[in-house]
Amino acid sequence: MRFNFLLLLIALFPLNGLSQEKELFDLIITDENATSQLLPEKMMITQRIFWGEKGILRKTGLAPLNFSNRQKEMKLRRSILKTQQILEYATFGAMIAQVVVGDKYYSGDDSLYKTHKTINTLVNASYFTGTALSLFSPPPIISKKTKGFNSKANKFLSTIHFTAMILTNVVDSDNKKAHKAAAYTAFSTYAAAEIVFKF
Amino acid sequence: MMKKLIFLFFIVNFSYSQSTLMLDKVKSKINYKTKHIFNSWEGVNNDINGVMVYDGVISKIALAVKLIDFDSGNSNRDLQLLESIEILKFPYVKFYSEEIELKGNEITFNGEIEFHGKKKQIKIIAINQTIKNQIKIQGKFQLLLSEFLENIPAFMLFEIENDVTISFELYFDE
Repeated sequence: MRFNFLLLLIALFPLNGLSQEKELFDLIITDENATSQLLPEKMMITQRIFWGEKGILRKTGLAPLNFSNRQKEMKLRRSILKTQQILEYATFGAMIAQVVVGDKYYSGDDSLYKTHKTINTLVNASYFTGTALSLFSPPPIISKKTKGFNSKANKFLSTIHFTAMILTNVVDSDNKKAHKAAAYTAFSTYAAAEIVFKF
Repeated sequence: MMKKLIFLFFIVNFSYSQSTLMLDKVKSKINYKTKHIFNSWEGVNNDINGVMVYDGVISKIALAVKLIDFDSGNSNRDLQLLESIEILKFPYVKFYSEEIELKGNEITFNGEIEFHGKKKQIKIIAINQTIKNQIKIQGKFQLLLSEFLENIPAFMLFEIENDVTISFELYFDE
């Protein structure tokens, strides 16, 4: 009887340590969640249309808003970001090629017309695909206020190179001077954005 | 008699005769320092949760740090980092120790770190000081990300260094 009693007390001994650890953490952790909401307060309009609380994907039941789905969306967001980064490298490389070819073409080498057009297609495809991925990807976990010079500079430069890319295509055959100016603006701001970059 | 003594011993052990000291959140901070092929940076967290059990000596310590509160001064980078370490699933990094040795002002914690759902035993050596009714613990240690993460976070397709330096300055109110 005494032996059994002793055994019980000894068995309970390590549980005391575990319960103390748990109690200490219960004392300091009042909120088990990373954030209070599943969606950030602010998101791009394009993201809100699809992924917002009343977004198309939520209303149609394709991606109901819950904790489990938000985890899957974060995984999707990471994959999209990886693809976007590959496209950014591809776009940057194609832009460099286009600057060289385009400059020679507009200096009088008409044999480069087809090459110029092909590279133009590649640049447009990679650039606008990357942009679309960024605009329509699931929203981030939280909306952090744009902080730091690099983040702000990147945002500012993005606005310029997006506008310049559209202009480059719009003024293509009409106005060679404007086309060149838009193209160089797109390239230089894109290059600057890559250098200051997201980090 | 023997039975009563043994029983009393375990009751005393179960009861809290020590005092719990809470962390001063205003003064305390934890930093991480990491390197990447393109640059290196430091992130700081000024919102730490912590408590220690104290009865003349520090017998237990528990710290919980919310990963979302780390700020490296670049919001884009912070977001990418948070998403790559799955903070929705694992919002906290925790540390617990009850094997604490004090030699002069050098304090050694043999404890357990929990990060990204994984627990590892770790030994941390720090400096312990008493400053104006507060206990200050300051030190640093290295963390290998590969011990906790399947995929090391990457920026522009290049991973950050596996080795991260964590430095801390903790103040507990006596």
